[in-house]
Amino acid sequence: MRDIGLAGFLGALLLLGLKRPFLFILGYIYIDIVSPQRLSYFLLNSLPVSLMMFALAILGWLVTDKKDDVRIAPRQLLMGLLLVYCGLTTFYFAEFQQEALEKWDWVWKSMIFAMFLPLTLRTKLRIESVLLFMALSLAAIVIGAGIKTALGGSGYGSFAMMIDDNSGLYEDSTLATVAIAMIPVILYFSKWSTIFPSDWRVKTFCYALILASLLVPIGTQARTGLVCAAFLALLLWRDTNRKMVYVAATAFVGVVALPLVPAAFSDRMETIGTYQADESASTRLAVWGWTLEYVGDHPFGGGFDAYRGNRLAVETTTVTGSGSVRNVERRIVADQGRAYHSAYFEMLGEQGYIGLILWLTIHGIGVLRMEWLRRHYRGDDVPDDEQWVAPLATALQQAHLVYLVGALFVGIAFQPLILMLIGVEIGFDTYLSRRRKEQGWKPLDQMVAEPGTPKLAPLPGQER
Amino acid sequence: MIDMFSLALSHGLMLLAAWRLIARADLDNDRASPGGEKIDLLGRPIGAEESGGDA
Repeated sequence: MRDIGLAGFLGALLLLGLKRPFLFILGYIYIDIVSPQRLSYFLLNSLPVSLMMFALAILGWLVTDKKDDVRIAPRQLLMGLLLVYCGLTTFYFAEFQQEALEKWDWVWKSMIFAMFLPLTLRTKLRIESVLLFMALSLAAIVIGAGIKTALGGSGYGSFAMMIDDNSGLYEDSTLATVAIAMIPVILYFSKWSTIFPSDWRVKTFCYALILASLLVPIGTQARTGLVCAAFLALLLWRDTNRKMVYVAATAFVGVVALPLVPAAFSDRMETIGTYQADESASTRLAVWGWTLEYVGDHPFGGGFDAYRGNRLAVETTTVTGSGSVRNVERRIVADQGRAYHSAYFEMLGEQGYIGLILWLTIHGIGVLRMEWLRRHYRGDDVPDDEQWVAPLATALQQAHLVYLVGALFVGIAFQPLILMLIGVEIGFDTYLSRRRKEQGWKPLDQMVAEPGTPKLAPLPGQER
Repeated sequence: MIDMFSLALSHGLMLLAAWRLIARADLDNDRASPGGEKIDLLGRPIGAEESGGDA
């Protein structure tokens, strides 16, 4: 039943794509996030659906799309450089060639798609539809996880997410981070959606989806998710007009929600403060230490999955008892081949200083550009048809920042959904520069500062 | 059961969105009105006032 449904859905998308080839791009986004071929037991699992849709998306763009106003942003070139560099480390430096090739196999596709996506985002509606498909594809996993959590299920690593495959987005910490990161985008849709015009039904769905996203860290017991949610609360506070009301509401929700949280979750979250006793956290610190040493010897990185070479001796300290009688128990735990558990150290260990610098630059520019757009499209002077810009820039920036915080603790440097988010940011940015050029745009403060210029008067030569 | 609900709801909405998108001329041309407009086999709008004359 599920197989027929998924195959039917893809078939329908393909058919509709014949009419509007841009839908192939949406189809690829869906496949990359949901991986229907992994949910399927026959038909889809034997077809290279991802590659097919990828080819159709590029072909559709090559054949039918307008390309005269294509703009390439510096970030796309940086991503190209990073991709070439990753290729070099994979084929020439990789210590674990086989594993490196396996990771390379999906990384190059995601990077190429993220570089390609901005070229296609020529209209506002396309930007919206890409984000909608990203949110709804993620919802396919998040809604189920949210309901299961609400019904009382939870457990790190054992949380049933449709498939018994702990990889990609179906990995607990990754899902928790990405689900929280997408909340600002869902909030944007609750107000500015045009495909499903924002009404009470859209709002209800958006709020329910946000609730489900918030439940994901609880259900998966991923501590990173909680850190991300707290950070997001802080970011949203920055943009709210009624700051005191917001603080009071957040505190109220926290107090009400706390008793409802499963004990297993609160126990696990308490270990954030007692990380010395926690093997997972101590190993993390040990791996990071190892990475710093490793990159000292291998400044150009060790290629994908270089962590497999590490051997760690981790000391954990547990203090029991209270008052003057305390037992301090020290244990040495041996570990090896431990993953980085941090995108920053992942980049450093695998792609060396060059890779890390490129990666940080790509993300840094993204966050700063969204800040620029946020500030320049804000205020009463912004025309009606550009009112949506500042809220979207804010949402994308918040999503990006939440990811960057989550990435401190999860090795998701090349998470496809985040690469798509970067692609959308670039497309959104170039779309607006194209618009400004067409309109002979000047910064609003300059336009208003010119003596005798009525607010938002058309510029000379633009009058009809 | 829960998984089926989750899949059905999200996929249903995506399909509905795709269906609505093919009727939106402003998917391919920002200046077109969001309403229905004729498009050719390759998905390009026909007769849009400001389509640029590149067809």
